[in-house]
Amino acid sequence: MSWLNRYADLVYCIVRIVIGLMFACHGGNKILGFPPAQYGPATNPIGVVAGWIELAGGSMIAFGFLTRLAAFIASGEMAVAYFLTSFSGKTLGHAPTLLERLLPILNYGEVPVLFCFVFFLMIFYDPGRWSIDAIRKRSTS
Amino acid sequence: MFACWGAKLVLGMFGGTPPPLQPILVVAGWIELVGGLLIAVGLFTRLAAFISSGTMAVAYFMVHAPNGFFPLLNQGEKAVFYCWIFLFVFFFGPGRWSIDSLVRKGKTGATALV
Repeated sequence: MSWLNRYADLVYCIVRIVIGLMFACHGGNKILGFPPAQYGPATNPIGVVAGWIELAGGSMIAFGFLTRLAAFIASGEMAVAYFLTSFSGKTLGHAPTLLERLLPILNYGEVPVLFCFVFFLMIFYDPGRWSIDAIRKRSTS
Repeated sequence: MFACWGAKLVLGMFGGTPPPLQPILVVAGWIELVGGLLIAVGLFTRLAAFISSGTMAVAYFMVHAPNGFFPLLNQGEKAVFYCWIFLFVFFFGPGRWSIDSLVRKGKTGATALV
């Protein structure tokens, strides 16, 4: 079924755009209050920093501008987010058991884990055809 | 992680409600449990990823989309994630550390691990 690999680049670009935009949504909610979510704009400084990383990083990943750098920063931010909120049991509201620390299905940390590992892949994977990076490379060569 | 959701639905692990469930949830649970494990070990990866991706697309539009347009509000972010990542896996293939690639290497008789 290796004929499918011919379209891998195309699908990767769609994945990059969708996930970048979803990430930017989290930042947009924290900084601008849009799009709406259950929680409003961030008030504590760490939330504001996270919001800017998500808004700027997510947009950069979606447009494919300095993709690997943005993915590296975003991936690191999500790793921090998992350990600060999910691993620590903040999302549960009580002291977590060992199982609740380790299993994202129990501590609601699945979204940061997914963001973290997908961005980790994006550091090592070429930004793809539909990206500003690819356009810049084409025009310089 | 995907398999965890299947285990929760079908086996009642991780604080899931024990069976019996609605038939559609049982089907979804088995796809998640079996599909998630197959993708993780890399056996029939493309097939498993295709089916899982389809399941998540259905899940998004049946469960989450009626609750609003933005994934942040309708809680459908995880479904979107799994759907697109598995679609990428379907096209990209299993990679080096997978049972699929071990099987293929065995067939061609190649010994090099590259």
